[in-house]
Amino acid sequence: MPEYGRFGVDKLPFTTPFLAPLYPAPPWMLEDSEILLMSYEIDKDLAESSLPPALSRSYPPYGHIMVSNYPSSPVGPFGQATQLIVCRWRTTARAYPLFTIVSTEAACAAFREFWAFPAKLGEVTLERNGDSVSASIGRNGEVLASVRMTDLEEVTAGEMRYDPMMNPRVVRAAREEDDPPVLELDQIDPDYTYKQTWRGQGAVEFPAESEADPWHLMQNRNHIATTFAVCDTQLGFARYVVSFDEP
Amino acid sequence: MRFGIFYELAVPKPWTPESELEVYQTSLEQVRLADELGFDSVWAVEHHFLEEYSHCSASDVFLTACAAQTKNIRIGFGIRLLLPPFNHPVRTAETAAAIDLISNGRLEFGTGRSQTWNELGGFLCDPDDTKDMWAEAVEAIPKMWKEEYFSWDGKYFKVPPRNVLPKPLQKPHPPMWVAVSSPETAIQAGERGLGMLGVSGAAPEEQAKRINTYRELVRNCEPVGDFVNERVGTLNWLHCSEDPDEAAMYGQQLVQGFNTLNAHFVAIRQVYPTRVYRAPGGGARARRDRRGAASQRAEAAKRPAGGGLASASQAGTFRRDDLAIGTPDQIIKNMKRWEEMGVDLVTCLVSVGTLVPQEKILKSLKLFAEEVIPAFDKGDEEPRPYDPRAAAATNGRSGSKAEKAAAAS
Repeated sequence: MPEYGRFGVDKLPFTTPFLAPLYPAPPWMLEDSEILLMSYEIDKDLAESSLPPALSRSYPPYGHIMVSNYPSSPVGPFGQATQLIVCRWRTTARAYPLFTIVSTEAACAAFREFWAFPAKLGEVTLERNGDSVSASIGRNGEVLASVRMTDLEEVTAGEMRYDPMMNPRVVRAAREEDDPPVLELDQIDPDYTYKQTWRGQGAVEFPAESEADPWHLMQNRNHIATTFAVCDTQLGFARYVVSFDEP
Repeated sequence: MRFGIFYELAVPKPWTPESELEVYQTSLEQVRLADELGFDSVWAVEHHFLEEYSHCSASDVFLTACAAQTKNIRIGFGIRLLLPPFNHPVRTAETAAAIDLISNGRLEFGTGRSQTWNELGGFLCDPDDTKDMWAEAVEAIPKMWKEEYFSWDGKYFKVPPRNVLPKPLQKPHPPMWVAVSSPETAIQAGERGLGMLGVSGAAPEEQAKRINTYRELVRNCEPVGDFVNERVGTLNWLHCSEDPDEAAMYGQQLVQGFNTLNAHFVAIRQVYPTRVYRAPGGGARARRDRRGAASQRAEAAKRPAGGGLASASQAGTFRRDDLAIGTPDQIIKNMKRWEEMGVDLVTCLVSVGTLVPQEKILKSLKLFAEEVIPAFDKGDEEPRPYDPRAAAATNGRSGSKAEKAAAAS
């Protein structure tokens, strides 16, 4: 008789590799997170050509660059940066991620596999110097984007807002002829407990025009607002799951 | 309580070369009929760059056409933006006075300051400044209407001594209002003796709180004009039909069409951190999202794809007890709620572009005028249109309710 394996479903850890999981299950408590968010108007064609059919663009089209430094997490310190297009699911404001860079292997895997960010491993730095904040996002030694915030002015927590994200979870079928068995949008909506919050002027540059990581496509057409926050972030399970292609 | 009609001049896509023409012309036809039927007032917004939702950037021109094509209905800015980067206050005073003359003294002067990044960003207007800009202009404009040589040395605009012409027909000046979309703006209206022109779809309970706050404050206000315009307006949707299912279907199209278009703009509070426009905090937003999720998904399940409009079968379940949507009896019952709350004027959106067929809108207006309007007492205000002798006797519209309330207390 064949001797079948004994590693049943009840023994499955939260992630692969099964015998040495890369990261623990949510929720992750990310204490003393630092988050820089720059919002600016973007090209209409980029918004319309990048959003899935379930989402509609805002008028005017705009997006965010969101750069975070997480000094503590279940997988150690890491940085994360995401470019997002602000959109609407039905009539509610949401943000759709275009590109994400995460600075450590374990965090990158979790952001891509579990939270469905379009994440790649790269370099993210975020530094506050006096009354300015600087961020740099890179990959393979190339700086894809740099953001600088100046003229910091304190604001209250009640004035802060981060749009919930609608992340595309797509699992390709193993056989060529099959449709993707998973094709959905997951609403990732962390809880933030603000400690200090500022607003200011923002500027973004895209030093490298990389074909592999085309962050430069989301050019700044008109600055709207830039904020910086120190907060505790709780990153949990997706709040809702909705269709990828039906509004 | 009185009833008016309210225009955003929405032009939903898909567009043809005639889309805007059709919306303007059908709207004017509705206004002419509303005038004949005895509606109290017609109001038009001023919005810029709000694709589909509102193509009413030149509301002064639209209202001038309304004035020229009607005899009795009052003509309301709902509202005029009092921000110098949009409209220099002198140009606003001149324009309003000209419409008052053309309408033979029928102007209602609503004021406000814009809520969207589309507009403020488009005119390079700093959101932090809008509250103070509005406050400065709303104080100056009645002086321009009254003084022979007006001058102003303010923070946001300056005028050397000049005679601002023409002067309005209504003396001392037309009734003044401010758009109220939050508890804070209700306070601003009450403190300045301005009419409270509700422009948000807030729940009746929330609006009742605002009205109470307003009535309290207006008793001891320092009016920016020469008199207190103590009136409360609220925004509603109107579709009246003897057939409740038809009323629900078209009513749902109105409400959903309006809300879908409106949701795609960028409210200042969504994107710009400032105390001047209140934003829900992150925690508050998250809690609201969680609470709203079940109803949002249930609502979504009823809706057709594309964020589009309801079919007749779906609309059967659309019933709300605060809207002017339904049979005449249903609407009378609903509107009595607002009357009991102290609302003086209900302004109604009757169309969103041409989503509802014109003949249905005209029929709805007729039925509403025949069956609903007579069920409400218009109140004790002076006869309309403008009567120079009555105005001279009362010095314009006095703050009768405020005076009565003060005397009673």
